[in-house]
Amino acid sequence: MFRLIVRLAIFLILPALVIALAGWVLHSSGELESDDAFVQMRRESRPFLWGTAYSDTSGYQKLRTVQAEAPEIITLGSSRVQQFRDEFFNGRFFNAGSGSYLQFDDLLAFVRRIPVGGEPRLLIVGLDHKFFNARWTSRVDDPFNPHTPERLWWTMVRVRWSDVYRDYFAGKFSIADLTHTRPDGVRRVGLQAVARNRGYHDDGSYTWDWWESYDRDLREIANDEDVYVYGSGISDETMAELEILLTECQRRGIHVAGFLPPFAPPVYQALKQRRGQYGYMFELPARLAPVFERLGGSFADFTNPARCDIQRDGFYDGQHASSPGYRRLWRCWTESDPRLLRFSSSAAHAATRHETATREGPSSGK
Amino acid sequence: MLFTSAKFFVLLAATVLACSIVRPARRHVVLLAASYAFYGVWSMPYLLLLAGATLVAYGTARLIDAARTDAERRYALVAGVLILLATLAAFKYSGLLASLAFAAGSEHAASVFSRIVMPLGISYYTFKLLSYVLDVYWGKMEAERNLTVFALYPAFFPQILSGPIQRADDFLSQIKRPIVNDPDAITSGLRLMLFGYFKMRVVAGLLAPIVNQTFAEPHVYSSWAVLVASYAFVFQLYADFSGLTDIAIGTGRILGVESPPNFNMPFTAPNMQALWRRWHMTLTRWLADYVFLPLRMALRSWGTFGIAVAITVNFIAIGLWHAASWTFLAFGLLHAVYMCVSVFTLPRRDAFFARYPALAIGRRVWAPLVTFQLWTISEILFRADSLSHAGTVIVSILAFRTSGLGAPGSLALAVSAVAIMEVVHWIQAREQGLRILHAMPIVPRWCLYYACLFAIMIFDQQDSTGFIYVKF
Repeated sequence: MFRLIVRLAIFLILPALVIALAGWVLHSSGELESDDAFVQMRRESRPFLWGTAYSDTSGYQKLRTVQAEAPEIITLGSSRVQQFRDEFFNGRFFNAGSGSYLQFDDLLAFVRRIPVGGEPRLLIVGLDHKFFNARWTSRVDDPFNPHTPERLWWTMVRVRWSDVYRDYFAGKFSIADLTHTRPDGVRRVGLQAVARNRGYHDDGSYTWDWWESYDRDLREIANDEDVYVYGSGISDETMAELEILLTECQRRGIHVAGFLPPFAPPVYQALKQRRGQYGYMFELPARLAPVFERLGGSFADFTNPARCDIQRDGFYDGQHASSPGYRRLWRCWTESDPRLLRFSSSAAHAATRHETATREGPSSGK
Repeated sequence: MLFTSAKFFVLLAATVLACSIVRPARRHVVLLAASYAFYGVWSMPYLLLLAGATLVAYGTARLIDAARTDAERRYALVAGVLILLATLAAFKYSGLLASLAFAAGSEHAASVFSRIVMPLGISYYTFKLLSYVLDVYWGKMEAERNLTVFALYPAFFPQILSGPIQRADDFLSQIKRPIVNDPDAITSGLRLMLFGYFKMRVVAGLLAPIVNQTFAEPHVYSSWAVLVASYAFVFQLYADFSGLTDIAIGTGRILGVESPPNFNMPFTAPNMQALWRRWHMTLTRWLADYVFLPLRMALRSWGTFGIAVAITVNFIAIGLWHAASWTFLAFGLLHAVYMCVSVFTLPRRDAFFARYPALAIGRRVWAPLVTFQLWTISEILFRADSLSHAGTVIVSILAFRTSGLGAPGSLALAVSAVAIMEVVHWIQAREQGLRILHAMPIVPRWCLYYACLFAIMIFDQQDSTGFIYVKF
């Protein structure tokens, strides 16, 4: 019997080591941090980058932060609004955009959960085109659902251990990433942040420091897929939800600034060429503008990147403008809508002017 | 507590440890405590129900034993069986009872029935207790006097979730023997558990998305995809249930109790009778002994028609044992038809092939294939949510639709896993296969075990599949 126990113990050493090593990677990279740690870290003055690779509860974290801190300026929307940075604004800002908000109803649910007395002065809402496509469907999970401690610890190790090895052997991270601390003083949580410097900043904006390509976007446009699914009609349901959101914000004294986010120039051209298949998209500005006007909000259509002179270098991929791209967009917007000017920081404008001058070169001043 | 939970492994390790400390003659007390802990962690009130049912069966058997006249024995039997069956019906068929109460205008009764949750394993332990009472009544065994020994029989935790439905004389005779730790039996039990988890988590887990997605919207998939999903379900159910059974038998073996087998390569069966002798064998045998044979004897004056009635009642019972629904009733009726046709034509078929021996070779190939096809058709009823849903699935297959979505999930991976499972079954079914495994040097043998273990760990996705047979 004793011999059997010893053999069993020896047999289990290998799987135990395999699991333990993956558990160590998950633990030391911060993947197992509790979701509420995001809010706690915001209270500390040290800057941080939150980039978990195997879970995304940003919807919950963003909501909790807004509920706890009552920022004056909030940006809300899908991953397409995540590049608005603190430095653009004059006031306590938080970017509440999240890739887990997949339908307009999620934004409405977010606004309804802002506590009374903690309303922002300005709510910038990214009116992601797909939300208004009558053909757009997405999952119905609650994006505000937090991880429970059980899910984050044992379940995470049990379910994700093989992903850790797959990613390691794919070269997505190295052991050195986990054992060395970068000297910039930024605390990094999660494998994305530790190994690739990607994730949510303490202002809620997303650091997306790599260039994808337009290939995926152009392929999806050609194939009627995913966020580029064709659609001729605007969703009445989403329009009704928008009216509810604007009415609620008007009642609570929140100024809403809604905008249609830009596409990269080649993607915008591809969409324009298929105007017939994307009827809803090109009808949207005419349908949205009167609603915002009637309910006292600001509205702008930046679908065409040329409107603010956002060029190819202002994008990470076909639909996500970069932070410089959004700085340009914000400046452009505040210049056309004086109601927004008081929320804008002069530093952002100065940076945009400097960037324009640098890009246009010495001859541009002639 | 399920077999995949960490608590189960802690309980098993603690039970083995405790069993090795106490005197062999007292092991049943440890096993009973562990079994009640296993069940009590899930639900304390339903643990009391289990204890109550145990007391009813124990008391009934003792009364039968002590009765002085046949009439007293019969009264005791009828009372005990009725109480056990009524309890089973009230909990297992609460949904049906709620519908009937609602239809009869009693909303209060309907709401009471609709709130009832079916206790885990109630079908299994009730059938065990019924067989015990009937065996005592028929004089096949004596009533057990030791309550703690007897209480372990329905509650034995490896068997309570999904069987096998072991007979009382077989189980109690093992429990009453002093159990010694046998390292070979423990190794064999652990190996069986490993294969069981492989079947359940890897094979059934890989097949589940193919089945679930296709059966959810059969009309959007091509006919080929729906057909593939129908076959996939047959193997998913088999992998799930036989995997659970392997874990149960393996766990029992570790604890010193040998359980009866529940499967014996059913899909190689040449006809329906043979298939049912190899599929869920303990339930089939139970129903044959306690439903079919008594009925067959009672109706023997009816001749062939009596056999047909006995078969039909038997298969309706098998269908409704799963749940009170039209799909399971149809499943039972379809199998009754299969079985009647098979039973009544078998002598003629045998005579025909005896006259043409050349064709008999081909029969060995096509007979299992035809049997498997018939089984697959019936499993559509088993899987479908309703008769109309089953109809949609069958129409989707027969439409020969080439457009529509292809089979979802990783078909190649799933087929590979099924092939590995069948190789494992082949090895398990043959003494020679097991001998080869035992005789293998430790390195390749451990490599095989590691391959199984890591496959389980890799494909183990957050209870995405669930256990199909536990709910029965």
